Amino acid sequence: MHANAEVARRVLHAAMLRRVPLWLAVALPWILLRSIPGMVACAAWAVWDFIQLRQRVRAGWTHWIDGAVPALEDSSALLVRADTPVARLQQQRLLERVSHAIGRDELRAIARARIPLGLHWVAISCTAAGALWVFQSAQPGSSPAAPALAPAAAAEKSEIVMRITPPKYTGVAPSQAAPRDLQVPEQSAVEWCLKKPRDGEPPVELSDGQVLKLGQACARWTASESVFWRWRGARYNLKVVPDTAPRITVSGPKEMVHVLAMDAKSARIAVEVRDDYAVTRATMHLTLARGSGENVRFSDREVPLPGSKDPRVRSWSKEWSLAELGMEPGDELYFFVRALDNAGRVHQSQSPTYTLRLPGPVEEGEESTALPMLVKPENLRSQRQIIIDTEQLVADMKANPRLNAATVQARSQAIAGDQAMLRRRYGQFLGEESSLFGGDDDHEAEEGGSPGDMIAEYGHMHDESENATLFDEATKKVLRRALSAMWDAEKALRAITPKPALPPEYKALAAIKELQQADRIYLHKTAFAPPAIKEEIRMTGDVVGAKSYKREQAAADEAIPAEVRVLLQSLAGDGALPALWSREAHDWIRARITNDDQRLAAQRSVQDVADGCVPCRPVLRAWLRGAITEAPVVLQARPATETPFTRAWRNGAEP
Amino acid sequence: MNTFAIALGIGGASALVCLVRRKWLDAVLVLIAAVALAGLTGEFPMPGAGTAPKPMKVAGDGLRAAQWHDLPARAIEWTVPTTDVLRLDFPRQLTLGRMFTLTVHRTKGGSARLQLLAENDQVIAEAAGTGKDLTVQWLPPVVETLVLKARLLDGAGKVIAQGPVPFAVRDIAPLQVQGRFGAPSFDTRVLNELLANSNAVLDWQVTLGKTVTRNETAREAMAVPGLAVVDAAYFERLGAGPRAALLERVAGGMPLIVLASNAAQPALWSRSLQLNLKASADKPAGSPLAMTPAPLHPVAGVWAPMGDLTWTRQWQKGRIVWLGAVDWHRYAISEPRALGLWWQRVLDAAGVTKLEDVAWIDPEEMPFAGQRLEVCAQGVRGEAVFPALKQSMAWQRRPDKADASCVAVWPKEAGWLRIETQGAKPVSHAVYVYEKSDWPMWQMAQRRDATARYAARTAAPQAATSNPLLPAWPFALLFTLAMLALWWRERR
Repeated sequence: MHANAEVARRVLHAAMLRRVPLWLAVALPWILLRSIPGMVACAAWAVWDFIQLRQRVRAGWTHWIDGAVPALEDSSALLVRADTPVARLQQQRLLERVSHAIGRDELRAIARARIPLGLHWVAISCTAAGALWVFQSAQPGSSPAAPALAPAAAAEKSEIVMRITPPKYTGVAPSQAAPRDLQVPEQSAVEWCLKKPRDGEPPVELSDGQVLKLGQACARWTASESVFWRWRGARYNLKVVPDTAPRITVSGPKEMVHVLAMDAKSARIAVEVRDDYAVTRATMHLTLARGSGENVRFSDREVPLPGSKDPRVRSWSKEWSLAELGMEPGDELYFFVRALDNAGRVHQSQSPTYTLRLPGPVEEGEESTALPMLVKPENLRSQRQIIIDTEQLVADMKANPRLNAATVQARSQAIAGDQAMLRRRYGQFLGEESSLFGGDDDHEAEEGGSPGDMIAEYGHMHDESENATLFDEATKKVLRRALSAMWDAEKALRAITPKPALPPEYKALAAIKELQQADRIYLHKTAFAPPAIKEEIRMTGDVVGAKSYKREQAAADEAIPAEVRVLLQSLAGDGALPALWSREAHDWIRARITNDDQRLAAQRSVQDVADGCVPCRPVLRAWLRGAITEAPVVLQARPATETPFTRAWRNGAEP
Repeated sequence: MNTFAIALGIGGASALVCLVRRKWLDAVLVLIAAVALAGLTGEFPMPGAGTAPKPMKVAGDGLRAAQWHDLPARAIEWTVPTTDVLRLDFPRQLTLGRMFTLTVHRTKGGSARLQLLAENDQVIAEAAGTGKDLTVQWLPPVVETLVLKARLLDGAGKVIAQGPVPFAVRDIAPLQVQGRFGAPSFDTRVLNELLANSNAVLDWQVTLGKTVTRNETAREAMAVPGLAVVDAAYFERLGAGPRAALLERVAGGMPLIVLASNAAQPALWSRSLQLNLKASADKPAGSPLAMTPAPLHPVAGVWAPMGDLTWTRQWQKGRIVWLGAVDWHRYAISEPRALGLWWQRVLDAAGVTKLEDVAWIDPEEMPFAGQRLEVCAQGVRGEAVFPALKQSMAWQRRPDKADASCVAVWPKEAGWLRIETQGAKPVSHAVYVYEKSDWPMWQMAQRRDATARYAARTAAPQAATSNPLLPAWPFALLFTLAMLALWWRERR
């Protein structure tokens, strides 16, 4: 009996040897992936497979031997069962033969014939492992595959775990992670928990100086700004991704002021609003302006932007017909987009205002609307009338070459006079002298009148500052161009050469038209109320009411707070630092260093110095010093040293 | 040479005569006498001393000044290497509120960038250029001892050299200013603010019209103001007596700055200060701040232009500055720092000085651990104590430094080396000792300069030919003996 068990054991052994490479091959991908659950599953499968194998061997090993070794003459069943004495005798003989007949080669051949290689198991294992790998690398948060593996392994070892609960509106699922550098949305709740809660653990230290107790309960912190945290000497960055306001892009029209074609039937407006989580509300505000001069009417409209599948984006590109917009020739449409997001503290953003302008028909003889402030005097001829007069004169001279010289001169002079008046009229707006209101421009004052009216009669209104500053530089440039053209025209007319006067006259007209088209100008008004001036004492040189005084000299501005100066000085040595220095340093850093990376580096150096690192002190000093934005220039004397030599020199030089 | 030939010729002829007479011994004696006579008159140089001592061969950049210092003056054979070197120029100490300026002189031009970095490796000042000299400026905000870092990069951004830039920022005693103004203006207001923010002690008085005066009293007693600022109107309205008193104080050494904006009486200026005024051009001038000129400007003469629209003249021990710029208050908001620096230049032109009893002289070359370091200062007395080295030694006068006293030590390690000593009161100072590996290109330049100085100190090889001559007396003795022997043989 003992001998046949020995044979069975050898067969099983051979079968196992045949199967072991399969088990290893199945486990290999999981080992490579460092997936503990995968390896455990492989081990379990291998045990199951071994049990199966053993059952098969027990059931069939005699047949296998009979099949492989003819010398046994199909009698191996006797090795298991020998009930009769004859059978037992035969069993004895068989056993003697078996040990000779079944060598290592025979066993190996049996295993090869009876035990399948099981390659399908390898294929299954590889497929599953590959799928896991793809899933892991596609998962956000652990994007780079290789670094993701290390923290995963660390997670198994670490005793602390971080739970991150982003605010609900972000829609980001809460997650749990081992300590590592992380990015979390703003206002996330971050918790540090011990895997085996117990007291007496070191606290979690945040870079901004906060210390969170860690024990039975988890340490909790709400992410408001990027920090790094430290536990048991290891530091990890916790970067906070702030929620941004919605971004609005207007892709059509391209220009801020878009002038439509005269015969345009439609206008395209394309806007897009994009937010990092969701846009809750986006509206387009349209304002239509109609009319000109002082008679401009406005009508407002608000249109919501249609939503899309993606709540983060609202995009609207539409070809608006002018009827839809309510635009008629000469109208202007102003529009902007306003959007709100779903953040806890709602962000609102607004695009700049775009203008669509539909040019109106050119109207005749409306020069004065360029300057709507003053009523046009009756006797003023317009530039277009001047041109017509000049053209008429030129035509008359051509038709009748022997026209009376005196008539030509009189007519030319009359047109020149009109041109001069018009020029002065526009000249006022550049602050030039004005004679419109004081009397005739050519000083052809009538005789008589009381002497008190002299100023009214002969005086000029000079250099009205109000007029000189009324218009912006661009308008004044056009005005100046018009004026110089008028000067040229007048010059030619005065010289009785009406023909060369025409080009400058047209030039002046074009400039005036340009002014006319710019009649709707947005003026930014500031609420400045000048104090009342006491007219009675103005410019009198009277100092009544002004008093002498005597006071202490002004104190110096403190450019750098005294605490920071003291801290910088004490950091220069290796002695003790002032009490509560780290709080001051943290406050100074938070208030002055805006760049996240620089702030974290500065906070790191505060922590280092607090840990007692003396060589780190200059680094902290540099951070604190660098946060001083404006170093003051100190007016000072030049230091000089008087030596016996210089003293003797000076005394010698002095006779 | 002629006497030498004549002596030999006569000797040869005499010997020939003796030979013809077959007097062999006489001929030998004659020859000896002739040679001795020739030697006596020939002025032969000393054998062996005939050539100058061999010049010493120096390889590479040579030695440091401290090492050359210990060698006697000798000629050297040295070719200046042509490799690139750097020379750094920066103050080792400056007062708070002054601009720190670091200049790197290169031997070769080309596109380069110079960065000044703080201890945390953040760039605090940067300059780029293609010339040989690059300069960065930085205004230190607090009183402290710093070791900044400078980095020189080439056009491609590769580091050419980098190393520490140690210097100390120290405090300075505040200015004491007396201001007297005949008319209020924004300029005086801004000057008052500038000085007050510079922590100056101010005695300020502005007169409005005839009846109103506005006084600001100094926060501490001011016996003798270090500077007086007046405007032209105040000076013009001053009576003859007070004006003479003011000028008397200037003659005693107090600088005076006159704001020229409201000058109206050229005759008075000409009479009292020999200041001839003429109408000035109305164009703003100067950079970086373009200043509007005052209506009247001095013509050349006793008054020397100092730039920045200022003219100065010496007034016995003191100095008067005519500040011909107006409306500079416009820069108080837009360019406060540039305006402050501009005013500092005006103060420096006025010669506003503050006497200090000790002045430390920067070491001539980079100090290193284990190498001789000479610390020099003016106005020190007693002993210099080096706590880190546990050494104390007396200050010694040096022939090459007229006013200063020096001590020499061998620092043990790199870093700041503190020195404590006694001036009028105890003072302390620190010298930065560099690492051996700091600024190799600057070290090369310093060795090169020191070697060039040593070569210049050495007597030139041509001048060294004044060799000693052979002494004449042995020849004279030999000649006398030979002649005596001849005479004796003749007499026999």
